Amino acid sequence: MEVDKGKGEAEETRKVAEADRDTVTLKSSDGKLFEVSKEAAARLSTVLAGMIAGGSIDDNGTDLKQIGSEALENVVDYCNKHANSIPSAALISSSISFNTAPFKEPEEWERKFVDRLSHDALFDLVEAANFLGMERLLDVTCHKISEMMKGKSPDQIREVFNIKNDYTKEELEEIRQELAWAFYDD
Amino acid sequence: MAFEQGEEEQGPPPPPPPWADLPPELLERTLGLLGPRDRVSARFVCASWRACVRDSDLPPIRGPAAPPPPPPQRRRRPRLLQPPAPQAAPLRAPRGPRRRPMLRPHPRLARHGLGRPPLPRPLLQQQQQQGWYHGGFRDMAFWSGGRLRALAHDGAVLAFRADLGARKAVMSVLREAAPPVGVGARAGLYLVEADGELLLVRRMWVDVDAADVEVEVHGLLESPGHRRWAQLQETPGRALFVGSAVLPVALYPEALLRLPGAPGGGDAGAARHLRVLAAGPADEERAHRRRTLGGRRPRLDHPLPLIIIDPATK
Repeated sequence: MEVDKGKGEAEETRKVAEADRDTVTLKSSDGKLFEVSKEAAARLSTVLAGMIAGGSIDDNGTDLKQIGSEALENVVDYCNKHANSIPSAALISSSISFNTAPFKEPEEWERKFVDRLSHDALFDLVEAANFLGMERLLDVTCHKISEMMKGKSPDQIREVFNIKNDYTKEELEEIRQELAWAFYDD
Repeated sequence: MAFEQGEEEQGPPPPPPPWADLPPELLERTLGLLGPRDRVSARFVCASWRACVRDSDLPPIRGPAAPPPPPPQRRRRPRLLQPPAPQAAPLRAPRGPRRRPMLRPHPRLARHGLGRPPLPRPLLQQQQQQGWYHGGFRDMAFWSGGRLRALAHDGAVLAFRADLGARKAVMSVLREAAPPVGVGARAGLYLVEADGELLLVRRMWVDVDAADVEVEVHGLLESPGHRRWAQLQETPGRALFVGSAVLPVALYPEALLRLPGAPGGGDAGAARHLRVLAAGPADEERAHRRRTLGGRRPRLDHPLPLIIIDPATK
């Protein structure tokens, strides 16, 4: 599975020495190779940026043992789309910090990007983004997850996420009190 | 297993993603994007989600139905210290051992560890629930049924029932907790109503004996369908009531909070932390300040204004 490079980019690559390639090759846990622009990788992922800076990028495929090929494909896809649609680095938002969440709503294409994902893919992607330190992708994926919870009752959330209600009776009673306290008068 | 549910099969999906095991930092991030109601719902979903948002750097201090200590869940922040059950030391008449060195905790710590000495209770009709944990989530408040509802960022219900219709200064303790901020430092979080606006005030006692208080004020920014707290640099022309119902509060000249009739604060926008002194009798206070703060503070050159919080809110 290869990722097509930009036209000019490909020519560029030929001219430049191997070591100065402007893409990096990433290898998923199941051995598939993906190529992504070095610039986008460094800009969008703190982990990859660190690896690039630290010279620990392997031209034959940098091993990302924690990330499956589907998730990695999505990551790379995201990087490419991001590089294409947003020329500036302005969208990289820092993580949510106390009282000042510089969270930016996902762009239209980012919404579409996560909307088409299955639950599995979303879950894997959010974990991959976490692993790779991709703040913006985390924003986007977490936003998607939060959308899936919005306006739903606990039961409905459980249903959506296929989560088992594992509360004990006592715990249920305790939180029921909280709920009453929060939502009902007196 | 002889069943047909092979992993490659198309029909019945392979084991669903373990959303219940979503790493806490991701859950936190996700819930941070939700409103309070949704957050409450999310806490109900399963024990691990709840444990995650409940997990805390703090032990419970007191309170009627304090939940059991949080299970040792995976946690993103390293624990700084796990203080023993705190003994509450009165602010004004410290009985406690005076062994505490004057340590100024790092401001970031102050944001996480919160504690507060047992000042006279605000006379507000208030009830406190088991919101004794601090889980690293932001706090917020909302209205429902004509009443103020306050929620911790983790969805824990903390305090309620300030009637904002009464245009008097009201205050409710949003959170009181133990002092892991640093030796001798405690903090409290308050909801304060000032001129019909709700403010979140974070007070930190840098040194309990010194009654030296650091204050951050956050206002509620509202946009359609969304509320969030944002730190205010000043509250021009307006008195802000912090402290307990009977604790007079005076402002340092450099404070950015302004009292009507009192000299307004110095370099606007310079200080992130507003400085407020919980003042006793002026002499005592000055002596105290000399003793504990040395020359680090400008002198107070106007008489200490006295603010008494009017607890009458129906």
